[in-house]
Amino acid sequence: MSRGARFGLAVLALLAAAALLAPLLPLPDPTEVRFERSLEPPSWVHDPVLGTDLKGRDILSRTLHGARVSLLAGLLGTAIALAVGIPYGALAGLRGGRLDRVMMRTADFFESLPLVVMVLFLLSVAQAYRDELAAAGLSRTHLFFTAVGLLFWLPTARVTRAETLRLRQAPFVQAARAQGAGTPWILRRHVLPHLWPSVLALLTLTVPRVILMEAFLSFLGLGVEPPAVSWGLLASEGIAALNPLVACWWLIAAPSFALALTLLALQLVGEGLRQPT
Amino acid sequence: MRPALLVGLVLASCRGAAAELVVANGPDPEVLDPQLASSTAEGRILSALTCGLTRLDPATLLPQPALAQSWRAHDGGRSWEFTLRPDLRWSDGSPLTAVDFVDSWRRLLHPATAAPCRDWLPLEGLAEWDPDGAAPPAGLQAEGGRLSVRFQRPVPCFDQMCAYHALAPLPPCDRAAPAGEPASLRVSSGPYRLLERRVRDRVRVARNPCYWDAASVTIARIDFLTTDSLLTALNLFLAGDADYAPDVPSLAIPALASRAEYAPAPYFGTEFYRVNCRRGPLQDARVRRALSLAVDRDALAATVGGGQAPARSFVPPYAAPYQPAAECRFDPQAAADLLAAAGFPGGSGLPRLRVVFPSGETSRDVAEALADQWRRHLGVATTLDMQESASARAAVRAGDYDLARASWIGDYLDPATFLDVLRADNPQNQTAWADPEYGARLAAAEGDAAARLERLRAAESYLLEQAPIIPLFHYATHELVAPRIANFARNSRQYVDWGRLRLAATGPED
Amino acid sequence: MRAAALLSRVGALLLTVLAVHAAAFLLARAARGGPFDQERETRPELRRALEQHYHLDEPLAAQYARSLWNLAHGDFGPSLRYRGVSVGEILAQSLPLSLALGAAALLFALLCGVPAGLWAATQRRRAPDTLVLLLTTLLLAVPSFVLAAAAVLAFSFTLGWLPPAGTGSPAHLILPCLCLGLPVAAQIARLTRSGALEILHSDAVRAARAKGLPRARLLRRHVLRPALVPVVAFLGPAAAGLLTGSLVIEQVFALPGLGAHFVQAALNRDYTLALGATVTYTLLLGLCTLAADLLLARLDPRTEALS
Repeated sequence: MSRGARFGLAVLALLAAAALLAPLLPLPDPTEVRFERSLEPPSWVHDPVLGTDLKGRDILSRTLHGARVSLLAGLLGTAIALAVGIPYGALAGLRGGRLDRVMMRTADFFESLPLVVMVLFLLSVAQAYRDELAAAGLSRTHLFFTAVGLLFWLPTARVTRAETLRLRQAPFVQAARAQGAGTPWILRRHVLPHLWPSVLALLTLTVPRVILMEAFLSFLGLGVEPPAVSWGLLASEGIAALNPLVACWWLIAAPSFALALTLLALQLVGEGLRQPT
Repeated sequence: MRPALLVGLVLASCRGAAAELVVANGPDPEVLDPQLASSTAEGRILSALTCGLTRLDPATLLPQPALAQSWRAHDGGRSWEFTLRPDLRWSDGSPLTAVDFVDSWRRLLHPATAAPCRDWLPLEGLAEWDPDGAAPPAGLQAEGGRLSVRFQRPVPCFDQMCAYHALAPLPPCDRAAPAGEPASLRVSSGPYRLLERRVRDRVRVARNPCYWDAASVTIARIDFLTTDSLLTALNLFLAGDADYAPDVPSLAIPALASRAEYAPAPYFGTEFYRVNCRRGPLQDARVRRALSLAVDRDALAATVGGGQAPARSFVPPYAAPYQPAAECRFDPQAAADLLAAAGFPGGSGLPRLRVVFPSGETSRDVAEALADQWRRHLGVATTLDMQESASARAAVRAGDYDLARASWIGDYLDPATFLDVLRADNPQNQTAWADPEYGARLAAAEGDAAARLERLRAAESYLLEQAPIIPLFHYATHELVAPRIANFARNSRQYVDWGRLRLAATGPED
Repeated sequence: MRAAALLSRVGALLLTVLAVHAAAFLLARAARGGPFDQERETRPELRRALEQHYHLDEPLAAQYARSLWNLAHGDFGPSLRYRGVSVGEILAQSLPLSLALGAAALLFALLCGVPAGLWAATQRRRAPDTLVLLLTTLLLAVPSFVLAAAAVLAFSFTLGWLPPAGTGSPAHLILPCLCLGLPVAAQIARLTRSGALEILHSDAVRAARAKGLPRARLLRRHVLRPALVPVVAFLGPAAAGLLTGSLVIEQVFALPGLGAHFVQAALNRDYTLALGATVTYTLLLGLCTLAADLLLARLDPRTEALS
């Protein structure tokens, strides 16, 4: 594994650990409002290490708690995209023929929709049925994951199909077929295990897109529900700091740095997976 | 061929020079119908395109003659008589007469128009009036250059209300349009006429040579730019590309404080929370009052309030001589005692309250701070339910909330524009609070002009004690005004008379 | 044969438009909150009048038939939110700007991305490669609203070169074009780089190199053309995305483009505008994909694009 990939993995592991342990760290509550400490600059060494926001909430604590939401969103959204996309693509690729054509036409149709609009529609429609959904144990966060999964399953399905088509020509699949093995068996035994490298590569590509999608929704005010925080929300809250008058650069720097670091690490890991040499 | 096409497209998208005055107007206007518009951004454009019987003095907000050269009130405001200026004309040159007012107000009163300001004209004979007949209600009459109005009850501030765009005359072409079709204002009565309306871009207006006071209109054209983000509006202003911005991002307020272009002034509006008086424990006035007492408005105003004044009352204290009942205070101990007396000591036994508010930087900040205070001082648990603004409004109207953010901007400088909101039959009430005692106190104020303000104050005092609403801030205007506008007057209603603005002769060149 | 294939593609596009129209129509009507939920207009008689005026009180099938009939005429009806303005007018006002901006951003992305990708590939594992990888990752990692706001701060205020927002001169479009194009440029650079790397290690290139072909000619002839195949395949959807604008860019730069309408129409439940915008997007995407496929067939004779 290359140096870059190892670095990326180390960063991701560190971030994941920090996110998991955030509630245990000796940090202020990320939602605790302390008016008397509004907009304190970073001290780097003692209490507000990364400064505070307008309501005196600790930026470091918010960034670490934001990591929980953002990373989870990235992983779960991607998991849904993969869970839908991989079986779809593999089935289409393996069965081929008419089924393949119908499935690919369907994919074409979904691709020709402005999916962002569809997701927004879905979220705004779901908003009106909030109580029914809550009764079924679903919150907006769940809806968000579902919507994002719907947004990103298409590339997964296409890559999987292409890969499966390649595998179908492979001697061991041909042999299994000749021995009369059924499609599910071949799928499970010979195709899915060989898909892992491309799936992992897809993962490193899709997670950043999901995290950025969450940031976009936060910009629109449709992201995670308060008082939860995510990096996208922190960035959109801090956006007003980017003007010539306001000097509160730490509001925007912390979440942007966290986002860039995570996505860089994912990128490096993905590179390493694609070129194992 | 491709580059040529590209150049062509780029050129096509860059049209002419900017107007003499550019306003970073905020959200896109949805409708340019003076009888239907309700947002302040729409109001700014409409006040350039329309002129009422009166207009306001930008400094004092007192009514001055406009399309009417004089007027008289009788019976403490029960009947009014306006004398129009001679030779008034629409921007297309056709004559504008008292009949135009009668016909415009008939459209305003027509149920199919469903204008928000319909109750502003409680005319005599309204109940018997046939909206589709040829005659106006009995209380409304035009003869020659005179317009006489007779109400069922006194309307003491009617001369002020006449300056608002809803009561301005509507051109004949718009009155003739079928019901449901909004006015387009191709012909206008105000200092400016509409040049073009480009959605999400700008509304451009040009001087109306037929305006009665055209001689004092010096700015030839004004652009009202759509600016969805406050940061963009600020950027435009700082770069000198906009001369007026009505609002600024709250993060920028401390840095702006030292600049001459920025001078926050009190604004005749209040931000408050509605309490749903239909919901279980919130039916108990003690619980509602406890919630109100647990709010530290000073701390709130100093941080997330963005320079707004903490509210002590519902009516902002800017409508002198009215003295609001300043009874909102911060007393966590009294709040906890009240909650305990209602049977929920330390918040135990109280269900989780759902707080509905529209998505947006400041409303979210306020909601989070309030939730924090209720938790800390009362032990009350809340669910913050941020919704997109249209669905938040729908939820509040449907009564699907426990506590909900709201705001009210006075339409004229009088306490009634606030206190009427909580009347049991007012569609804006939306708190399910229908207290006959409050209605009786308001009614008691109507008859007697001398004791009116004192009685309104008693009504407000009762309102604050029952606490179907929790006042938070009185708004402040956060206008940015370029120094090249020579005679800008900041007032408590953000009232700008575009026709009387003047650019400094030796303004800074850019 | 090709004409027939082309025709069938166009037919498929029309079918897609119909399906998209039906899907958008149904989804929009499923929303519970109506488009007429305003702060002060709450009276039932207003709602009735509005619904009658916009035919929202008719049965669903009748509404659909009306909508389909209007679609056939290219008429999407009046906007439900911008009362007094038709959807056609809104599209006509916003589309030219979005097309101009999108085309410029696309051009910019290609002019930056392709050379950067090639350069990185030829300098593999050396400083330029690392630089390109790092830069592209950063560009793809920062939310577009942060990128745009930072660009305004840097170019409009710190340097004072460009106007911060608005329209009026070509200079106003430079910054939005940059912010719109940069992430796409980053993706193009990555695709070009990986495509070129694959080719550079192929036998054909090794043979050409062994023959002593000049480097510039080798790159242009044998590397660039095949390396562009994945780029062009990516370009179809990317172009459609760019040409229909971006809400974030339009909001930050106060531009009256099409991108914001997509989002705002969905959020405001402006059914007619959402329908018009969606159909426009689908048509543009179809045309861009078709163009990309035709280009692909010329770049790589092996792909029978129109089969």
